[in-house]
Amino acid sequence: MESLLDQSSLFLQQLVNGITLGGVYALIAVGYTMVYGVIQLINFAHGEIYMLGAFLAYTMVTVLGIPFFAAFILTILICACFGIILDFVAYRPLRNAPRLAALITAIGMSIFLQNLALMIWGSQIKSYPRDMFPAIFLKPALSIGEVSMTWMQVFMLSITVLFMVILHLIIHKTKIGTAMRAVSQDKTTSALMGIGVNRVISFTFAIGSAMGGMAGVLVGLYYNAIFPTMGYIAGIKAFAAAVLGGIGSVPGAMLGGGVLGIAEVMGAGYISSEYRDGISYAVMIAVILFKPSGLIGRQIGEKV
Amino acid sequence: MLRLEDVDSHYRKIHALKGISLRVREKSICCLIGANGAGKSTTLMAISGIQPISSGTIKFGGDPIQKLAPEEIVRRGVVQVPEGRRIFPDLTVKENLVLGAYLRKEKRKVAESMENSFELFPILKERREQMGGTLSGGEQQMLAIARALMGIPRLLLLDEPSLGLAPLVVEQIMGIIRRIRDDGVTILLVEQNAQAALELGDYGYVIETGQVVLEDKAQALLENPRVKEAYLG
Repeated sequence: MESLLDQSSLFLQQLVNGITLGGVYALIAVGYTMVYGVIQLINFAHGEIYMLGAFLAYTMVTVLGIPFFAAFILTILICACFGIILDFVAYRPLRNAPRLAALITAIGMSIFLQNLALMIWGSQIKSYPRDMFPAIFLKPALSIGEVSMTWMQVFMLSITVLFMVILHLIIHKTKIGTAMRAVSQDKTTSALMGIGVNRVISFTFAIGSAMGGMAGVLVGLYYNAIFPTMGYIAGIKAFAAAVLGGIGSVPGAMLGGGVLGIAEVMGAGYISSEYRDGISYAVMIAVILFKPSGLIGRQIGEKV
Repeated sequence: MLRLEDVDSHYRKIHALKGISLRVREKSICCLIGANGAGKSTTLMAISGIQPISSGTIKFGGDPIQKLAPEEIVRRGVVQVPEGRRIFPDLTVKENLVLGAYLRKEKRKVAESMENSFELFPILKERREQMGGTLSGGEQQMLAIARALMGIPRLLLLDEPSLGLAPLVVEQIMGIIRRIRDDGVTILLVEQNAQAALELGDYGYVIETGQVVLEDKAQALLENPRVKEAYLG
């Protein structure tokens, strides 16, 4: 099949795939970067929220028989609550502790949640039943020559873009968004303005986790594979995307996700698909070596 | 209106406040003067609920507030302009002002307050879409005061409003503080610039190493030889 494609349509096809995948990375990366922005913590358990999102929707569809789209929305809401609980249980007691303590706790939460999923759902790879969404999802939505984009990809990309726009509006046009930016700049002064700093932090976790859970469902659909450790690799890649864009910067996370998704798919297509995961690590190492502040991040003095 | 009784506070291992007692009368300007590190800012942070106290009471309008969260204290009308202005550098002037009114729900009245701040500080109107961090020191101080006023304070805590400002600007700021008092807001003014503060204030406390060592009418403090020697140079 591939031999039939000429060079330019191979490139375009990979670009389409890369953008779709990159959008999902961006959804996850936003969660890392927002939490880092407000409490300077790399929430390593964020990938597990993504994994839980994929499993929750799976259980809702297969065990409870909830229609897919309803399950999708419920999953997003539940993941938002998970984020709030995670912060409340694991990070809030450590708010004034050394940052390393919170970081280690984050890694601990990641391992805990992974194993919890292993206990509940087992280690076998699960997949969403094919009949849960209209068959049209797998059909091409548009095809130009040899290049095609399935309805699934259209769905993923529109959801991604839609929520990025919503996120942007929340951060820049609402009072709670302004408060989020204030808290990320100066917590004490925020408190002096009457801002409930902990409430703003909870809200940040909720938004980030909602988007992470959403990404979990989308990727579960796209690759048709759900397993307890799926959050680990996706988490690392999204973290790489956040670092690439500049940790703490939301537009940076979006851009970083897109660039990483395209780089990964191009690398897999042109070099070797075995290097798929390696490319993310290479990108992250290169960024840390040559431009630690990321593509559009600001200079930060301290490092985790 | 505000009463501190035997307030003790520890900052890490330092005993920062050692039994501070003071009173701020309604619609007056009360000055808190003292050297660097005497505990002036710590006192204000304790009143605002940021700095925990280990013993003593802080009463506002008769109610103890020492256990309340900072936001609750703001809600009751105690608003602070912190030392060094602490403007949000990456938010616009307008966004800074909006946050000053964070706890207020009525949008129309908040918009009115914003118009009032622009009247009081025309320069802020000109700069309203600019990032807070791009303002000059004096402009930032004005923004910090305007931002606090957006919360409709009954008691305004001002921490070193003259710090790092040119004498002419200091005069301007002091004039604004007088105007705010004349509008019926009670003020607790912390200053190293004792001269400027006492000229403006009604009553004053001198604190040294976390203790009140002297209190009197502002005029009397200005003439007090001990104050003259130590703080008025």
